[in-house]
Amino acid sequence: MIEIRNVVKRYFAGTPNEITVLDGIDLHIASGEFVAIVGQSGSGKSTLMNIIGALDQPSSGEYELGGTPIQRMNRDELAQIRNRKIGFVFQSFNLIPRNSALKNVELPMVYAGVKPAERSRRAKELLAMMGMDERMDHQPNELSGGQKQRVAIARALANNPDIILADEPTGALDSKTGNLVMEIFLRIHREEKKTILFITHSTELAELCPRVVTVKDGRIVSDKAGSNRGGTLS
Amino acid sequence: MIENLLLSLESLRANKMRSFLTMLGIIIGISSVIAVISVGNAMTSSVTNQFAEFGINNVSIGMQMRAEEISGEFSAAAAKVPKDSDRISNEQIDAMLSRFPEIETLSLSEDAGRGKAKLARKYSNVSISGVNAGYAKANKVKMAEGRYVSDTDIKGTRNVIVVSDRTADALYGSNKAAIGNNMIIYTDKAIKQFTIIGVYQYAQPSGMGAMASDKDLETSSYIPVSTAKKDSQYKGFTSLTVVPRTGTDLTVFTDKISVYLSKMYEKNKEWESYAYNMKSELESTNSMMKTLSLAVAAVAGIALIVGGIGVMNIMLVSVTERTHEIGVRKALGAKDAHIRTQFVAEAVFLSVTGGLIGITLGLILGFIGSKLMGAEFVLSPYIIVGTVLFSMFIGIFFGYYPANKAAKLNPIDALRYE
Repeated sequence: MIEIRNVVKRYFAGTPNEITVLDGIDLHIASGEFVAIVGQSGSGKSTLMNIIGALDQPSSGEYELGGTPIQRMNRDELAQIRNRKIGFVFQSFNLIPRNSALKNVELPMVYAGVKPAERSRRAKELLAMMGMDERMDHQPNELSGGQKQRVAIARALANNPDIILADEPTGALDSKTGNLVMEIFLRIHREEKKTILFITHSTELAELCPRVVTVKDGRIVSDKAGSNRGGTLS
Repeated sequence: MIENLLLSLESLRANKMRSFLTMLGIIIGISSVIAVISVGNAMTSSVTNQFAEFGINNVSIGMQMRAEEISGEFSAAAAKVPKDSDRISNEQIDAMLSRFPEIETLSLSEDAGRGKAKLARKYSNVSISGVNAGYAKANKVKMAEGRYVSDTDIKGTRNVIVVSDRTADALYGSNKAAIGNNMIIYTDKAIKQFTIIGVYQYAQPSGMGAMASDKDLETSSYIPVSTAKKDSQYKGFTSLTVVPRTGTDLTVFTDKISVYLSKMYEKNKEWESYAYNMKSELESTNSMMKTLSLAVAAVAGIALIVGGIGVMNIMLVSVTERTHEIGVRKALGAKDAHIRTQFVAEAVFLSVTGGLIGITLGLILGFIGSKLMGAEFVLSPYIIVGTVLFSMFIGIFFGYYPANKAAKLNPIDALRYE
């Protein structure tokens, strides 16, 4: 599903301030895997996620998503990839303010050109799946952190993407709510057969994932199985 | 598209005060343009109506003092009265009639003073004009009862009179009752008596409010021109009105008659002829008004541009404020075009809403303005449609740059922006 070969990301290339954030990353993730990418802040894990999410382009190296090379795509094609193939879940939820939960979940489908009736039906279904059907008319500022994140996960699933990219999705939540959200990811993995990339700085949370990739100083330093092979939280 | 419009509505609703202030620029611009144009239109149509009352297709001809005479010795020149030999004689009028087949009729009028028509305690102020049959045609006099002054009346130098319905009503109670009565008019110099043969409908001049009280209003009354001339020392005329046949080219005809008259007065050292028609007067007045309206509209247009810059400014602020949101939208798969349309729609919505409010306000102002000037208010659908389209254009024009700036943001940079 995801093929990354010798990806390098440099900022301020050719100047004295040159920073190498990713320094030759090789990563292969198969369809249906649940992978934790763990590392300290500044390790380059977020940059790696941005490249995988087609939000950012590598300075060099190759990235193929489902067999399609990403680095030769134009802006619209990249937007299409983000829209159809990838679902983002962010630490700070990033719900669109002043838009109801329902509207937020519908948004990726608006950009995909799905008809209003179908859009609304699908959004309600997803919100129900997240246990948020009672609050679909609420605006983000009327929701708690855990509720916001559940809306965000519903939104990420809207266009039925192959990959869910979650960047510290529990980072802004207390541990109890965090576990609940983690549970949702595991369930999606199990029931929807999605490829899930879970970016975190917490080794504890990473251990709950079947596969753990550790990034340090722009390189992958370890790639091993997590302790939770079964894919459930006890 | 509809999605984008709804999206833009939401963000505008969230910043009500700011949206309103931005719209204010457009509102002021549009309403002043609309007000100026509608007042201008009202004035033009009112002037046209006034000219039409005089008879727009008539050619006025006559004689006036030569310019060099006036500028020479003012006091002496001002006192000069044309001698009968300087005036346009009946023979010359006949010659002109046979020379120009284009002339349908001629209107003659001779001032015969003013006075009070009295009957017992009742009275009515009248001015008396000696006229010919053509006068009614040239001045669009409408008869209410009886008949107008005829050629036979003139030939016979009869003591007959046509009065206004106001006079008839004041003295005899009705138009019908007035006919056949002998009316006595007290002028400064004499007491005159005429038999009423007809009553015409008095038309109040438009554009002016009732100046005298209704009772004291002075209206014209008409007697045969020969009867008026009987008391005058002069037999000739200083001015007359020509009614050309329909279909005559007024400009060409006026030129021809002007040349003809100039020859007539070539040798006269003190007096010269003139000939002009109302139509060209009206056209020049109208074009002047148009220029004036355009000039004021141009100033209002500048206000509109300032309003447009206001829209652009606020859109730039909005884009900066919502950079992070734009990043989120891009992460969710918004293409550049989606973002661009959203912001352009927002700008268009701002300016069109402002435009609609401005149109309403402008029409109200235009209505009040027209009424104050005593002109009739004309509602032009073209202006309204034009203004809506124009404000839409302003939205697109001034909204495009900020919208494009938003669309071209790099997804990751926008997403990182806090």
